[in-house]
Amino acid sequence: MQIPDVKSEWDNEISTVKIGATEKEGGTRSANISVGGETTLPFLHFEGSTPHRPVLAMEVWDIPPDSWPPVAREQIEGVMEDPVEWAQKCEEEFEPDLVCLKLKGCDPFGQDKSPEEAAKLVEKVIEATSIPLIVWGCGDDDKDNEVFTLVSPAAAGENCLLGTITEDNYRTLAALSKADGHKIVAESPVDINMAKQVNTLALDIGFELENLVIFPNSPALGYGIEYVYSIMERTRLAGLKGDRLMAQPILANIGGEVWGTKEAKIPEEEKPEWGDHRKRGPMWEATTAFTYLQSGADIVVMRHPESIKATKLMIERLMEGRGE
Amino acid sequence: MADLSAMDIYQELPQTDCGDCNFPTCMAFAMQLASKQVSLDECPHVTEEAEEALSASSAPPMRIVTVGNGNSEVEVGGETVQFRHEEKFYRPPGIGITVRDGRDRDRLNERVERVNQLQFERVGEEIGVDMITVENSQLPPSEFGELVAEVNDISELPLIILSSDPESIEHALKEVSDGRPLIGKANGENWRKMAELSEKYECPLTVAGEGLEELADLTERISETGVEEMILAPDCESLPNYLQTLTEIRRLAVKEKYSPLGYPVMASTVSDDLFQLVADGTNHVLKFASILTLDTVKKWQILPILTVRQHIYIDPQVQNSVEAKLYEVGDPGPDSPVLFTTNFQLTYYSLEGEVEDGGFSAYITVMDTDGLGVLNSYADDRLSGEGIAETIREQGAMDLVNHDKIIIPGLVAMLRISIQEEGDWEVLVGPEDAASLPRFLRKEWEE
Repeated sequence: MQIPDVKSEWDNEISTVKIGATEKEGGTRSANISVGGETTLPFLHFEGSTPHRPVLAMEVWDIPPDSWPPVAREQIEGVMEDPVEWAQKCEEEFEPDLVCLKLKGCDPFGQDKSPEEAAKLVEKVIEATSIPLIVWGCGDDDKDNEVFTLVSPAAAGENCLLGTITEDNYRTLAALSKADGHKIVAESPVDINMAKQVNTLALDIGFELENLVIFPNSPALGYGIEYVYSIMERTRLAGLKGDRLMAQPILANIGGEVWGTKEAKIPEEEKPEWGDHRKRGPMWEATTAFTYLQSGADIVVMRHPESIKATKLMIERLMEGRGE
Repeated sequence: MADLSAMDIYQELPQTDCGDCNFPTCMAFAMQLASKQVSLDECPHVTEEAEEALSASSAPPMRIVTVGNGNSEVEVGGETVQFRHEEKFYRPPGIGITVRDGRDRDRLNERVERVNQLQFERVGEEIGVDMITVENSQLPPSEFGELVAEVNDISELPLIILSSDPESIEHALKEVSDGRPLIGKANGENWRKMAELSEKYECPLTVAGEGLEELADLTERISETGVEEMILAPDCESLPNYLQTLTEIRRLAVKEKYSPLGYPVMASTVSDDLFQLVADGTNHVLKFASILTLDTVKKWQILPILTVRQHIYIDPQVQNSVEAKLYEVGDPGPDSPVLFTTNFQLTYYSLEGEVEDGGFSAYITVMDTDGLGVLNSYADDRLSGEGIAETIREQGAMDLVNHDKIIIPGLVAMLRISIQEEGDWEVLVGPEDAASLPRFLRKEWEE
């Protein structure tokens, strides 16, 4: 019986973004990683290529993560006071593809650490690790601009991924990244048109879209995940169909979202009907990652070693179908 | 062939509003036909010419199959799109927990009891597993039949009864066919007998096959015997193989209207690893399974899969709302801040999450805006100083606190004065996005 052919052919390829620079490339990373380059939807190896598997980044903070629930925090017991040791432990024990250093301590309404302190820390983390690095600001526009003004040159040549630019605040970070050879995360608030708008703004000031990843925000499983699932799916479809403003790799930053949910946090003693929270927390984070990976995410930023391990394994399994 | 609109279809219908199709009017029936949710056969009065004109457009691209009956029946299939944003996903996959016949009876009963417990409540909805899959691998037919009867006695859930031996299936059906279980799997060898049983006991049938050609070939032969309600159960050995096969079947059904594979699909997990089992289940729910069988009764594994299903099957065309009322987040007291927002689900839960995350307690007074977010509500003229003040007053937040400050979203800063005038409170303009709220509260509230 002749079955109709339902392979889809797409006009365009998602751009490839390389993060990290080896010694040869002017940096100090032991290897770089590439994301993107897909010519089809996630893991559909029978009709197109997925040259690079999605990658996972693990969060490291510049201050002790007091807001993390115990199940996430106890994994980094003993190192969370020292971000350099923490980053080192991450790389050596938990084996993520990247470290995502979050400069939470720079928040003017928190510890208000100075840009100098942040830049020094970035230098130390670079020295202590060998995998590519994401550096994420505290979220306060003015402060982030001051901080990146020192952090970006301090990491010059390392080809880091810096985040984030938004509709309201993109000039400084885009200019710095261009000058110091970094990539940037373009953030938009659960709105596909806004995602396109941020990319347009970056392009308008001369930032190449090939050096950028899209971050449409990424709520946790059960808290609006379906909106972003569809936004990522529509973004990827638009990119494959030829919209150059939507043809970038996609990032999901799920750690903070997941570990704020009741499902990840509430202990079994308080909620016996939800089962073992020591497994449920990491499972919630992993399932959130599984979901975004099926809608087009290329980079997922996470917290718990067990969920990273499980997500990595699922990616490996899904990539096995390549070339069959 | 282009899809016809409800109006085009209505023109071809008798327009008598007789109700014999179980819809109140011909127009209502036409609308269901247009969205491919019913078959034209439901109308007993349709003319031959009309049938011809509508046949290509009227057939649902994927059949709807019902398992079980009464309160616990599960309707699956009838999907019309590959991506949920194109329309919506219609029928959440039925999730069945596997029970094998090799276990001793006490352990088996205990497992069934545990399956019965796999019901949860999330964001105001009941979610739970829907079925029990009884698999025959060890017991002879008559004993298997007894065992199925026993499972049926201790659970209300509809059954999926699987055996390669039609005799086992018949013994089971003699006991439980009233419950309209899903039976199978029919394969290249046993399909005639399986089809007979499906016909005789009026139960839907799963059809297994290696590869799409074998599957299509089998469904064609079985449908010739008169069996219409089938579920495809492709033999897949790996996760990427499942993804490819289920993607192809979905595309064939909804894009090519390829009727030999226009049936719902059943998938099961392929990994024994505890986390990978959930990975398999999540992938199948996202990518095109209509029935999912899982071999676990662990709540921490089931709950995330049920939650993926709950959210991915939300209709993207409908704004999702939370109840408009006063919410207490954390443990608020007289000194706690009072926040105002609209009842778009994502807006509310983002706000609630940020308050909790920041370690704050607060009252959140939520206005009914038909599930629109703050900016959309404003653009849609649903927010006025008067309306907001009335909501705040009715819900009584200000009676619970010893201050007169109310925080409104930064996106509607322009309403500050009018709320202040209507309500006689001090109105503070909060941040534009929930994520900046903890910083705002630390700065504006705690100082």
